[in-house]
Amino acid sequence: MKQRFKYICSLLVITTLSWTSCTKFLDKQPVNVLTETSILSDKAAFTTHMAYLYNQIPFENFSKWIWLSYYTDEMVNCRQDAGTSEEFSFNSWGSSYTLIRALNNMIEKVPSATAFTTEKEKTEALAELKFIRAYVYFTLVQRYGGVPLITEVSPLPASGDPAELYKARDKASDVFKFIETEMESAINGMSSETSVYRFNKWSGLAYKSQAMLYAASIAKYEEVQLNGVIGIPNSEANHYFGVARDAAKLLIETGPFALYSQDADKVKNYHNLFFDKSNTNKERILVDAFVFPIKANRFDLFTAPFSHRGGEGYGGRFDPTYDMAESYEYTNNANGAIKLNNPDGTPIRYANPADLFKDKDPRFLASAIFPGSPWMGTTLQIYGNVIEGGVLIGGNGADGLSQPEGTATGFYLTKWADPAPPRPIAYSSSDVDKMMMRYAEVLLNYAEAQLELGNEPEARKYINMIRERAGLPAFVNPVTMNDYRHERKIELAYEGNRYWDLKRWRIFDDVIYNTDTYALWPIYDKDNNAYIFTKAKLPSDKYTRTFTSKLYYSRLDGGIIASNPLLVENPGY
Amino acid sequence: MNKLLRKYGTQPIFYQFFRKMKLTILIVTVSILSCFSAETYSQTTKLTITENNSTLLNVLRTIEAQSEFKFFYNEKVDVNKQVSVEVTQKSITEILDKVLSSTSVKYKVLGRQIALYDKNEMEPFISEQQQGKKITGKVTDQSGAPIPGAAIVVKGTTIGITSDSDGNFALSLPSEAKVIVFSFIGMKSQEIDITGKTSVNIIMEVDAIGIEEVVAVGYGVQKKANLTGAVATVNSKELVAVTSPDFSNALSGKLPGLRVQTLGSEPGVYDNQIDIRGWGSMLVVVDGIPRWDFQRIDPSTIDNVSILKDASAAVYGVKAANGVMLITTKKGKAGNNEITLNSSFGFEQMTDYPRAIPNSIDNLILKNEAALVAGNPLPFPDYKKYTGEDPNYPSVDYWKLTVRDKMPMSKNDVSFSGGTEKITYYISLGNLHQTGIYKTNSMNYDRNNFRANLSAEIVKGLTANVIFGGMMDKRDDPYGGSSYDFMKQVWMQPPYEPVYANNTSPYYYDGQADRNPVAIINSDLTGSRQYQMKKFETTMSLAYDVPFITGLKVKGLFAYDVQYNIGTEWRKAYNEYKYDVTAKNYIPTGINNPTQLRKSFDEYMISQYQVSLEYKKSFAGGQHNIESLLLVDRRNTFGDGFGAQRYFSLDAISQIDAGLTDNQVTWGSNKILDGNMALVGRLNYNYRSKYLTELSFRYDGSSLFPAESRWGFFPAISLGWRISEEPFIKDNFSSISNLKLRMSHGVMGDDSGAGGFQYISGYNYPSDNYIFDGKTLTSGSSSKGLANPNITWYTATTSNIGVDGNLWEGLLDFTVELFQRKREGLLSTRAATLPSEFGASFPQENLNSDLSQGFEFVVGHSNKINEFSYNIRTNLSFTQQKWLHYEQSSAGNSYLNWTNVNENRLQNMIWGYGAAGQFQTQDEINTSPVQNANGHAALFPGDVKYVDWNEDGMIDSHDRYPIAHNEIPQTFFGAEMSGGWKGLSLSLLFQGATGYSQTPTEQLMGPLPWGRNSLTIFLDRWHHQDPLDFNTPWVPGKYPISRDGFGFGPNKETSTYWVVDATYVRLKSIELAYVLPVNWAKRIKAKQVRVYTNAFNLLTWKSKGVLFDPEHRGTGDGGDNGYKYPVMASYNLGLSITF
Repeated sequence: MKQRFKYICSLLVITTLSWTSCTKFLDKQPVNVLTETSILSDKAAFTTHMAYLYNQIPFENFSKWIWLSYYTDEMVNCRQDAGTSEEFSFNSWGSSYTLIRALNNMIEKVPSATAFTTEKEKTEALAELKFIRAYVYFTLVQRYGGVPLITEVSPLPASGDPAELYKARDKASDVFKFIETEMESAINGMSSETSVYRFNKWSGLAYKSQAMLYAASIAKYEEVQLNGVIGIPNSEANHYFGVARDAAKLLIETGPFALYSQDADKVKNYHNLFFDKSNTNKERILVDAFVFPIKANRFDLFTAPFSHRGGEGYGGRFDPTYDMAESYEYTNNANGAIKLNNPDGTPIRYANPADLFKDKDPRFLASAIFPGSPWMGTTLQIYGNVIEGGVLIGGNGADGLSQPEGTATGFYLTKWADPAPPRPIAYSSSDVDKMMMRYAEVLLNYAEAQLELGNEPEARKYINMIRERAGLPAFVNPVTMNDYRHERKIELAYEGNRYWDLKRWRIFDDVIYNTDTYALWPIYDKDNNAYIFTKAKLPSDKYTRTFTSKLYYSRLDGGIIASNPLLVENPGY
Repeated sequence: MNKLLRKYGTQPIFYQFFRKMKLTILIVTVSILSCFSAETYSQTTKLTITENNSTLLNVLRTIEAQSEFKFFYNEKVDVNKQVSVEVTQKSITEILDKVLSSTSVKYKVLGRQIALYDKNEMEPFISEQQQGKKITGKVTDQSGAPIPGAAIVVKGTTIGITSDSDGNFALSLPSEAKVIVFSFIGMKSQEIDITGKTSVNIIMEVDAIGIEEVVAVGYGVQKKANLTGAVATVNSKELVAVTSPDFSNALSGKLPGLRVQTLGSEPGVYDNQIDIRGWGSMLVVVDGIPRWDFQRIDPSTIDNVSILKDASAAVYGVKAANGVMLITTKKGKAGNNEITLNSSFGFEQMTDYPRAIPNSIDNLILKNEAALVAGNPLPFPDYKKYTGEDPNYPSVDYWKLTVRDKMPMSKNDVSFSGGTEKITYYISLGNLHQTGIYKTNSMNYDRNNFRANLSAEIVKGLTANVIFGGMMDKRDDPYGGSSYDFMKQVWMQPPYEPVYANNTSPYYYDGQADRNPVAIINSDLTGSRQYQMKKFETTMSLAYDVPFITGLKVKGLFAYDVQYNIGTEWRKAYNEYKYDVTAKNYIPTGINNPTQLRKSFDEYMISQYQVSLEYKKSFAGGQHNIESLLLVDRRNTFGDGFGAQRYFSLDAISQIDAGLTDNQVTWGSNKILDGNMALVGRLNYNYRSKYLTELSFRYDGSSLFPAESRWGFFPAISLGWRISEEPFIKDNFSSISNLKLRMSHGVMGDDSGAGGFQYISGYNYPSDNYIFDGKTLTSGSSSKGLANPNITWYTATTSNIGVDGNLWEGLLDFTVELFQRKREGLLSTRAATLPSEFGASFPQENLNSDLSQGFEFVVGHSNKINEFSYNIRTNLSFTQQKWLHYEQSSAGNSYLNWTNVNENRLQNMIWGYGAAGQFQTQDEINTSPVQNANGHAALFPGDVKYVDWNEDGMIDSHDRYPIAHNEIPQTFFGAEMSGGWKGLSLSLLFQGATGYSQTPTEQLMGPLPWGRNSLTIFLDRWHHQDPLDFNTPWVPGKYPISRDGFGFGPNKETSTYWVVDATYVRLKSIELAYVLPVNWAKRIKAKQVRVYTNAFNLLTWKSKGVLFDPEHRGTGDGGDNGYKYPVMASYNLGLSITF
C-alpha cells in the first residue's frame, strides 16, 4: 500500500511539474510591435513614427478635401443629395487630440532621445513636431473655435476620477496666440531644405500665413461669442494681418518658389501645374504624394465622364455647377455669363457645342469639360433631350445628362483628372499628387493681407501676377475686396479653400442660403445636328442647399461634452 | 445493471438459451469467424479486481462496472456466496475460473453476455437436434450492416442461436414455436411472429433508452446512464444522408441545441452559421484536440459527435463559454477486416432566389414609368420595338445565358478497417467534387480527405494510438467576379443591352452594369481565383495501464497540426467594347489592366500536449464507483503569412516570377501567437449508478492576458438521480424504464475578442504610412494605446436542469433541458468617462454582462410492427438573450435613452417603423400624418404608409420601435423519422426555425438600381392601367410604383413592410436505401451492398413574403445585401459496397 502511495505521488509530482516548469511558456512577445525605446533610439524607427504622425494630420487631402466643395457653390455629386450642411460635421475632435497626445509625447521625449546623430537633427525634429502640433490646433480652432490647449501628456488619474482631467475651452484668441508663437519658434528651428513632402521652414511660413490670415479674418468679420471661446477681438485683426503678410513676404522674398509657367498654352499650363511632379515645378510648397500602386487615389475614377469610366463604374461624382462656370471670366469680358440665347430670346444653335465656352478663362478650360469637349479621343456627348422631327423627346447623351452616373450639371471636373491616364481607370489607379499648399495661395494670402491693411497697390501687383499667369488681363484700376475674393475663388477653385474662405469672411450664409443649383442642359437638335442650351434648375429636394449661421462652427457632439462637462457647446446647437 | 440482473434473473431466457448451445459451437464460431467483434471483447478486455471476503454478487457488479459484460443467472445460482479474488489484468475467463472454482457455478461467455448456471443443471447449450422446421435470416442494423453475435431465441423456450459474422442465422424450431426474440447489446429486442415463415430478416435498432451507450465527454467517455451534464450525441448510424459536402449539414436538426443555418451553398465556402444554444462560435474538439475547419471533415469517417451544452464543457476552461463540440472519428475493430466503397452522384439546384426581368419590354416599361414619375420625358418611347428580333433592339435573358439549372456533384470514398488483437487500423480516402452555378463551368471545388487511425498494443498494458488526417481542397472561381459580383451584375444587367457589341463574338458589350455578366464568368477571358487549403493533423498518444495499481492509467498525447492556405488570384486584362456604327470600329474599354497576379501564403500551426492520470475503481461490490482524471494540457498556436503582387506584360504565364518587378507589392498577414496551459481535474462518483455526482475544474492560463490576470479557475459540479432505480418506482411503475433528474452548474471562460497583447505598450508596426520622398512609402508605427494591465477573460456561468425519461420500453422517450448562461465581464470600453481631449481612451475592460435562457426538449418514439420498424424523434430548442449590463453613455434625451439603451433589453431586435400597408388613394395620402421631410408631395398610391407611433402628426425617427427579431432565429426544431422494412429503409428529417426575420436591401427594395434592370418581383407594383398614361386608373400591386434608382428613399425605411417573419419548416433530408439480399451480394463476393438515394432541402414551407431561401440572411449579418450565393437543394444517388 505504501509502495502504491509513493507511486501515485511520484506520478502526481511529475504531472504537476510538467505543468509548473513551463508556465513561462505563456509569456509571448508580439512580432509586430516596436517599443518606445527603439523609436527614440533608432532613427529609422523614429521615422516610422513620423510617418504615422503625418498620416494622421487632418489635411483636407484626396480623401477629405474634395467633399468640402459640395457644401459650397462649387460643385455637386451626381449620385448624392447635396449636403444641406445641417448634419455636416468634421468629427475631428477625438482623432486630433489622439494625434496631439502622440505629438506631446514625442515633444517631451525627443530632447533626451538618442536617435539623432547631430544636435541640429534633433532641433529640427523637435521643431517639426511642434509645427505639426500648432497646425493641428489650427485645424481644430477653424472647425470648433477655441479648444482646450493640451501640451503635455497626462497620465490616467491615480484616483481613477476622470474629473481631474477636465479642462475648459480656451479662448479662440489664446489658441491663435499659441499657434502664432509655436509656429514662429518652429519655423526658426525647422530645416530650410526644400523637400515638399513634409513641414520645413518654407511650408511653415506658408501655413503660418494661412493660419494668421484666418485669425485676422475672424477678428475682423466675426463677433466674439461665448466669452471669447469663439471669435477674436476686432482690435487684434491688424496684428494678425501683419503677421500673415510678413510670413508670406519672407517666403516670397527668400524662398525658392515661383508660379508654374512652363507651357505657353495657358490651358495646358494651368492643368499641368497639378500634374508636374518634377522639382522644376516651383509652385509646390507642401504635397501629399501619391505613387501608384502603393498609395493611389480614385480621382480619375470619380471624375470620369460616363462613357470613359472604367470597368468598376462610378464617374461623374464631381460636377461643377452652372454658377461656377459663369464665375469664370472670358478673356475678353469680365462678365462670365454663358451665352444661351440670341438677343431676341431664341436659343442660339451651336453647331459645335464647345463654342459656348470660347474665350473662357483658361483656368476654366483646364478644370472642367462640358458638352462637345474633346476627352480621351472622343467628343463628349452630353445632353438630356433630343429634338427629333421638331418634337422634344427624352434623350441620353453617351456622357450625360440622363445617364445614371453621368454628370448632373453638364460639367465634369478635370482639374486633377488625367486626360491620358497611364493605366485603365480603376478604384485605385490615379496617382496625381494633392498639393496641400502652393505658391499661388501664398501670393493671394499676401495680397489679401496687404489689401486688408490698406496697401492696395501692393495687393494688386500680386493679384495681377496670378491673373497674368492664368492668361487673363491684369487689373488696371484699384482692386476691391470683391475683385480679390473673386480671383481667389477662381484660382483656388475646388481645392477646398473656398469652404474656409466663406467661413472666415462670414459670407457663407449669404452665398449658400436656400440656393438652387443649376445645370447646363443641352438639347441635341437632331434635325439641324446642332445644340441648344438651357439653364435648368436641378431638383430642389436633392440639390437645393442652405447654410445657417450656426454651421460656422461644428457641433461638439454629445460624446465630447459628456466626457468633459466643462466644455460649452457652440452656439445654435 | 440491477435492472438486467433482476430481469433475467427471474426470467431465465438467457440461461435456457445458453443451455442449449454447445461449447464447441461457441468456440468454433469465435475462432473461425473472427469477425465477431463482440467475441474478441472477451479476449481483449483485461480486468483488475480486488474483492476480499466479498460475495459473488459484488464481484459480478464490480466486473459489470468496469466493463461492458453483463451477467445472467437464475435463482439456482447462489450469488451471495462468499468469495475472494485478487487479479491484475486478467481476462474474464481467467477471473471467472478463479472466482467460481470454489462454487458449484459454471459459466458461459457469449460476446459481452455471460450466463451463470449451476453445474447440476443442464448446460445452456442450444440444441442443434431440435425437431420441426427451420428458420433462416439475417440480422442487420439500420444502415444495413450485418450484426454478428445477435441472440435469436424462440420465445418461452430455451432454444436459440447467435448470428454469424455476416449476420446470418439458421435456427431449428420446435413445432410449437410461434415467436422468436432477437436481441443484441445496445439494440432494442424485437419479437417476431414467425407463423408460416421460413425466413426472416431483421433490422435491429439502437436502443432509444441508450443507457448502455457510451458518450464522448471532455477528455474521456462516459456511460450514458451515468451522464449528469447536458450532452447531446449522434453516432454514425444516425448520420444517414451524409452526401452533403458540409459536414455540419448532416448535423442540422439532429442534435437538440445545435443550431445550423445555411447562409449560402457556394462550393468550398462552408457558409453555415453554427452554434450551440445561440451562444456564438463553439470550441470544436476533434479526436481530443481543438481544431477548426471541422465542416471539411469527410462525414463518412465520423464515428460520433457530442455537444457539451452546459457545465460539462467547463473542463475546457477559457475557451468553453460557448459550448464544445466533440467529434470522434472511426477506429478499426479487431478481426473485422473490411473494405467499404462508397460512391454517390447527384446534382444541386437553387432553392428560392429572386430573378431579374428577363425581357426588355417589361424592363423598359418600368424605366419609362420611372421617368414619368420624375416628370421627365420618356427615355425609351420606342420600347415596344425591343422584342429581340431586330438585333438593334435586343432582349436578352442574362440569367438563362449564364446560370445553369443543375450543378453536378459527386463524392467517392473508400475505407479499410480491421486489425488483430494487438493492432487495429482504420484508413479512409475520400474525394468530393462540386461545381458552381456558372454555365461556363468556371466554378469548381475539389476536396480530398484522408485519415488513418492506428492503434497498437506495444507491450502488455501499453497502447499507442496514431491518428493522421489530411484535408486538401481547392476552390476555383473565375477572376471576373466573385459570386457576390456575379449575382449583383446578373440582376442589374439591362436586357436591352446586347451581350456582344455589334452582336459579334467575342466583343463583349460594354454596358451599363459594372461588368458584362457573360464576360465575368469566363475564366479564359478574365483569369481565375484559386484558393487551396492543405491541412494535416497528427495525434500520437501512449496509454499505459499501470501494472500494480488497479485502475490507474497514465496517458501522454502529442498533437501537431499544420495548415497552409494558398491563394492565387490571376487577374487578366481584357476589354469590353462599344461599336461605332459610322466608323465601323470597336471601341474598347480596358478592364483589369494590367494583368496581375496576387499570390498569398498563410501558414498555421498548432501543437499541443497532454499528460494525464486516470484512476477508476469500484468499491463494496460495485456500489461505490469512482473515476478520476488529472490532466495537464498545453497548447501553442502560431500563424504567419505573406502575399505578393506583380503586374504582367503578358498573360500567358501565371507565375509570380514571370511578373514585372516595377510596382510590385508585398504584404504580411495573419500574425498569430497564442498559448494556453491548463491543469484539469475531474472526479466522478456514483452509488450503484443511482446517485451520480461529478466535480471538475480547470485551472487555465491564456497568453492573451498579462501574467497577473492570466490564470483562472473554472469549477463545475453536476448531480444526477436515477429515480427509476428507486424501489418505489421500480416496484410500482414497471412502465418506466428510465427516469433521471440531473442538474449542473459551472463556470467557463472565453478569451476570444481580447485582441492580442493589449497588456503590452508600444507601437504597432506597420500601421498607416506616409510618402516622405515622393516615391516610396514609409510604414508608420502608431501607439497601441494605454497598456491594459487588467484585461482578462469573461466568465460564463451555466446552469442546466434536465430530465431524461424512457417509458414503455422505448415507446416514448424524452429529454427536457432548462438552461441559463450568464456571462459577466464581457469586454467593452468604459463609456464616455475620459475626456476626448485626453487623447487616449480607456482600454477594454471586463464590463458587460448578459443572460441567455432557454429550453430544449426531445421526444422520441420507436416501435416495431411485424417487420416494419420505425423511429420518430422530435426536438426543439429555444434561446433568448438579453443584456444585463451594457456599457454605453447616456443619450441626449429620454427618447434616445429609451431607443438606444441596451441594458435589460433583449438582444437581436430590429427597430423600425410600423407599416400600415400601402396607400390606396391620393386622398388617403393627403389625410395621413406627414410621412417624411418632403411632406406628401412625392408620394403616390402604393407607397408605404407608416404608422405615426407617437401620434405627433408626422413620421420621423421617433416613430421607430422594436418591430421584429433580427436574422438570428430564437427557436430551432427538427423531427427525424425513420422506418425499415426488410432491406428497405427510409429516413426523413424535417427541420425548421422561427422567431426571426429576413430583411431585403438594395436591389430587393427598389427597382432599377442605377437605372439598370429590375427584379421580376417589382413587376407586381402599383401602376396605372396603361403604365405610361397617368390618366388611366390605378392598378394595385405588392410594391410601390416604379422609380429610378434604388427606389424611393422613404419607402425603404426599415419597417414591417419589408422586415418579414421568416419562419420555415423544410424537409432537410430524405433518404431511401435498400440493402440487397445477401445471396445477391455474395455473387460479387460482397458482404453487403446498399443502394440509396437522398435529397436535401427537397421541400420548404416558409412564411409569405420571404424573398429568399429562409436560411439565407437577406441583408442581415452575413447576407451580403442579398448577393450571397444561393442556398441549394441537392439530389443524390449512391452505392455502398462492403467486402
